[in-house]
Amino acid sequence: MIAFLLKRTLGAVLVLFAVSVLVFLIFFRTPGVDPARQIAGRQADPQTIAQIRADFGLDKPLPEQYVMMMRRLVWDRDLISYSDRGLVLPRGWCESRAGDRLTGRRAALVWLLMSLGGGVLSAVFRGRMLDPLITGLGLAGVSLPVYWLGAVVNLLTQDTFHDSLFQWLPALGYTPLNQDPLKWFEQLLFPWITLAMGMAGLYSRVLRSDLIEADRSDFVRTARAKGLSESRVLWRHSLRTSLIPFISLFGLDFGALMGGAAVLTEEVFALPGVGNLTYHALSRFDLPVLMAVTLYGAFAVVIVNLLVDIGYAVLDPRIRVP
Amino acid sequence: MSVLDVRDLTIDFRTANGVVRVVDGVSFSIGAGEILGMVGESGSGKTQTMLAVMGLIRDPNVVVGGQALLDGEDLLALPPKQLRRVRGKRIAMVFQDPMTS
Repeated sequence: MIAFLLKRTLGAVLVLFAVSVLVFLIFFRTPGVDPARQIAGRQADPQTIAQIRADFGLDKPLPEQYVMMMRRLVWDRDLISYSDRGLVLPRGWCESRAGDRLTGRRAALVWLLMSLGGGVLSAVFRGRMLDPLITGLGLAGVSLPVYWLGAVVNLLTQDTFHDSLFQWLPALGYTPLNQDPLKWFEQLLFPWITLAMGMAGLYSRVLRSDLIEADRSDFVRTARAKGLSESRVLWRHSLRTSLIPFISLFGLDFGALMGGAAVLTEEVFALPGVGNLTYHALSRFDLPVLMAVTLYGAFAVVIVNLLVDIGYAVLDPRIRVP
Repeated sequence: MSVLDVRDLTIDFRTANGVVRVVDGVSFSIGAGEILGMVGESGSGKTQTMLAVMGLIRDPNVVVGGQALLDGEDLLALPPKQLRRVRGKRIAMVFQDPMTS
C-alpha cells in the first residue's frame, strides 16, 4: 500500500510539473506574442510594460522565468489582475472569492450523499414503487438545465414562497463563512442542492446498475453462503466494488467543478466564484487571472484524480499491488 | 440418522418458452461423517441442486419444490432470516472459481 501511495504521488507530482511547464510555455512563449504586453493589457504605456518585463524576469533565461512565475503563483501569490487592480491573485481569490471552490466542495458532498442514497435505495427496492420514483427524479435532475432549475428555485424561494415558507432565506449573494456562518449556509444551501440535482441522477443510476450487477456476482453469492446478513452483504461486499466506477466518475466531475465548471450555477445564484472569475477574465482577456485560474484548475484535477486513485486502492486490494 | 436428507427436490425455471424442469425429483441423504460424491454432465443440475439446498437461488423465476431436511428441519421452508443463521454455521458451500468467489 505504501509503495503504491509513493508511486502514485510521485506520478501526480510529475504531472503537475508537466502541466505547469505547459501552461507557462503557452502564456510566455507563444511565438509572436510579447507576454509583457499581454499581461499589461490593452493600451498600456511603455513604462508599465517595462515594469512587467522586469517583474516577471522576461529578460532572463527561460528556466529562470519559469521558476519566477511559479514563485509568484504558489509562493508570493502577488499576481495582480490588470482589469481589477484591487484583485491580487491568487490570494484575493482564495479569500474573498472562496465562494465557489467551497460551493463546489460542499455541493459535491451533497450530490455524493444524494446519489449514494438514491443508488442504494433504488437497488434495494428495485422492481418496487420507490425505484422508478428515484429514477424519475434523477432523470428530471439530469435533464433540467441548471440555469433553468436555478432560476425556478430562485423564483420559488425568493419570490413565490418567500413570504411564507422561505422567510428565513436571505437575499442572493455570498457571505464569507468567517463573517456569518449561518447566512453563509443559508445563501449556499440552494446552490448546493441545484448543482447536486444535476449530478445525483446520473450517479445514482450508475450506482444502481453496478449494485445490481454485484448482487449477481460469485463473491456476493459466497458472502451469502457464509451466512452474512443482507445489510452486511450490501455495505461491505456489493457496495465496495460498485463504488469503483462511481468514484472514477466523481473524480472527473469534481475536478472540472474545481476548475470552474459551476459557472452557470454561480451566475444564477449571484455567487462570486472561480467559474465566474474565469468567465469575466476571459471576456476581458485578463492574462494574470487566466494564468492563475488555468493552473489552479489543472492542479485541482490532478490532485482530485490522485485522491480517486487512492480511493481505488482502498476499495480494491488488487490495485494496491504496484 | 442422516444429517442432510433431501427428498424429491424439484427445480423449475420459468422461461419465455414455458416452464423447464431442471432438477426432477432428486433424493439423497448423508449421515454424519459420510461423504457423498455427485457426478454428472455439465448442466445436469449438480450446482443448482446444492444452491437450492442452501437457499441461494434468488431469481424469482426459479421455483424450488420438495424438501431438504437438515437435522429434521426443512431448509426450503425456513424464512430467510433463520436460513441465514444456518448458512456458514451448520451448512456451508465451497464454490468453484476461487478468483471470483
